[in-house]
Amino acid sequence: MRRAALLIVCTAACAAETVEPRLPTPTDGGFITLPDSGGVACRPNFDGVIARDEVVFAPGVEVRYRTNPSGTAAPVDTRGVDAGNGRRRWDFSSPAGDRVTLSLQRAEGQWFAATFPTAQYAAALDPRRSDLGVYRAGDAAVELLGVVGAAESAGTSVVYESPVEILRFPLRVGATWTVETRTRPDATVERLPVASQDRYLVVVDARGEVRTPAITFTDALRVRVEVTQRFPSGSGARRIQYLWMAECYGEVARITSTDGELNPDFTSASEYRRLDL
Amino acid sequence: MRCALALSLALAAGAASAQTPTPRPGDEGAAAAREPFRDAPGVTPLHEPLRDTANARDTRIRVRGFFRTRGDVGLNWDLGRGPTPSLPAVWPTPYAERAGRNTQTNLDMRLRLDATADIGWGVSLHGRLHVLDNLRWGSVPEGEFVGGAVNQSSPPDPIQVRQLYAQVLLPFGMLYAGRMGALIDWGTGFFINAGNGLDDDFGDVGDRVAFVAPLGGLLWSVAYELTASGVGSDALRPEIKPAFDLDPSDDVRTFAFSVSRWDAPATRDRRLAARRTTVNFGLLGAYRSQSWDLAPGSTPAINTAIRRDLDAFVGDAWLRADVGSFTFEGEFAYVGFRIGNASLDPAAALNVETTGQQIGALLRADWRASPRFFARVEFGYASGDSRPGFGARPTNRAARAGDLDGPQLDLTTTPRDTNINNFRFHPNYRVDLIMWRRIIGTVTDAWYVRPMVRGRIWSMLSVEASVIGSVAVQPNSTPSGRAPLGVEADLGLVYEQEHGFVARLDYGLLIPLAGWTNVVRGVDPTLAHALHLVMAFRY
Repeated sequence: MRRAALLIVCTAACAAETVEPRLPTPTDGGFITLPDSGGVACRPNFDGVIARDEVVFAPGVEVRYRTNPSGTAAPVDTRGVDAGNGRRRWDFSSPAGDRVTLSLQRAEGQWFAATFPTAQYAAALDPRRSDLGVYRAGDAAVELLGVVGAAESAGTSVVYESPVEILRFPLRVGATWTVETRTRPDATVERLPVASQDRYLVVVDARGEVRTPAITFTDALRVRVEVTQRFPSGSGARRIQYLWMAECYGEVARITSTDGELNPDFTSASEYRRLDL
Repeated sequence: MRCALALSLALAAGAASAQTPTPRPGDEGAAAAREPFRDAPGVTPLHEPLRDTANARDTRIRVRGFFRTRGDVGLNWDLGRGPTPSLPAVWPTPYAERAGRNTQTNLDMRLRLDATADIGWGVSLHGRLHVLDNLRWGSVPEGEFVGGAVNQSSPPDPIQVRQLYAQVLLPFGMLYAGRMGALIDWGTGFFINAGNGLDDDFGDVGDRVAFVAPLGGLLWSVAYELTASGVGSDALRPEIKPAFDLDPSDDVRTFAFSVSRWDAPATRDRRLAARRTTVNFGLLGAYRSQSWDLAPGSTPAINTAIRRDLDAFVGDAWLRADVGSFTFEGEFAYVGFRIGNASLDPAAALNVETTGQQIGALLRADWRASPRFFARVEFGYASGDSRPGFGARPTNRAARAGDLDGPQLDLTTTPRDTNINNFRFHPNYRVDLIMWRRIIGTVTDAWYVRPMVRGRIWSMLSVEASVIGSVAVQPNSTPSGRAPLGVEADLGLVYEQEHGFVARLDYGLLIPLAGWTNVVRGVDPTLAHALHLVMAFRY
């Protein structure tokens, strides 16, 4: 259980970049516009590259996702279909599952603020669970600094000795990087000490259209994150996670494999999350 | 779109009243044939202008219109009920003092100029200008310290060309082309309204070509409107002049058809005076479509194109019967639309359709007891939508229960609410002074009953009194969640001095009912008052 929790933590990327959809007004013709609003200027340029300023991290934002219930395995198609021109098309429009809300919380003032003095925000690693990932969004990357419980009483506090670059900008197909880190010795999960040495292999490996239950994103990048953990006992864990990132919307879908997955085209997921309204 | 639909009857009226030209055999062709340099390139014969003037046909220019100024006094238009979840009050209140003042005043003006040039040969040109349109008095003082202002600036857009079109009488009907509005009110005016009235604020115009023909005692009309032509070639190649419509697939096109039997006002007056039974009616339909759209502010490209898939249909049926001293009139309107993808962002297409099924209806019974006394009972209905707020002036802020207004769809609910079903009366169709006209904006999501009487008490002076009781169709749309909205009594005094001058003073008293109660704070609404003065100098 502790290992599983830690693994989920490790693969949690930027959580809640998307902002509220704007609803129709007389001045805009009565139509709905969906990109960032509320003073955050972002306009997709469809260049196949997601620059840092095309992803918004705004504490206070809430994003609604549809996901499979906790503890269930969802059938998925991570491969999608060939859409021509080197692009793919993924259909995640199934309305099955539960609607969950993910909130981006300001790190300042939280119980763990002293542990992560450079943190900017925290977000649930998995909207079905309470553990929070603690992040720092810099000019060139979004870094995962560690994991904490929603409350101090949960007894979960994991700090990485070196931050994990979950997203390194600009994102474009072919971008690849590796991060190796380890937990600090005082790490605990549910009050029990934990330790692991983690290796992240991140590859932006495809580009194409993503269809979610309510919205079709015409130009998204798929980011594959392979996480391998080694524990002091000599055992290990492995998990593959795909993130679909869209300009101005951030993460619009996520599929996480079950533990020990080796096949990158896996068809059964522990988490099948896609943006909803 | 409602204006495009109005066109058919508008044009019908024009056809009915068009002048028949008095053709005289001109010598234009003969003069041109005698012109020795007529085919010489680059040569302008000296006597060309003189010849043109001599051959001009019975040209006449008529200018009509009015200058109006209006004054208002509003008292307690926020109904003293406190805030809604999204607004500090249902009507914006004075800002400089926190309490004790809820009286507001306003003065504005407008010059309307309708010009017609009868060219002859059955051709005429028409234009409408608005000058200082609804300009609030004192709204553009010069200088930042307005206490020392001694002058008013011109507003940024002092003259607006509202209409400009031409018509020609052909052997088989009347052809119109240009930017035009509904030149008359179709039916009762609750759906399609020309905005020709002295106190009107809104008027729709469209770029159309239309044809009207009398056949079988009816007027038949068809119209094509290019509602939006989309981006032009200048977006990519500004050196090309004039710009050209870049892509027909992003155009919004409207086709309208109507058939009607309609008597001009003068004709109807004669028949009413003779107590002749007269039946007028009309039936119109219009279809609008758009396939693609361009993201606002974007450079046209495949990446910035949005698949829109918009279809809309509008239908209206109207019937009026003058029987003796009574008139019975009814109108039914329907608006249905489907938007395949309502997103304005090409990067994110909505997978759910936005649809609407809206219905409006009006019934009237008039009684002309004498040339000096007129009475009317009117019933109006506008379909509603169950989302919070009326949807008369929706903003982009999602409405919460208790809000005055807001979007009438919500894609975040389960199941999604993708329908916008509230019918909105034309805002020029006014039934009161305070609640619908000012606070809500127009009749929507409600039904009402409105009896009124009008009597001429002197040759140039009339009084008018009316009472309107309004109830929401969807109680969830009101600020309290309760259906009864209010009772408003309005009393008017009209002074009309021949054609040139009209003054009208109205007083309104609104008794708000349970629909305006602030249930969160437990505050009941209080009475609101209005004074409204219109002075129109017609020419």
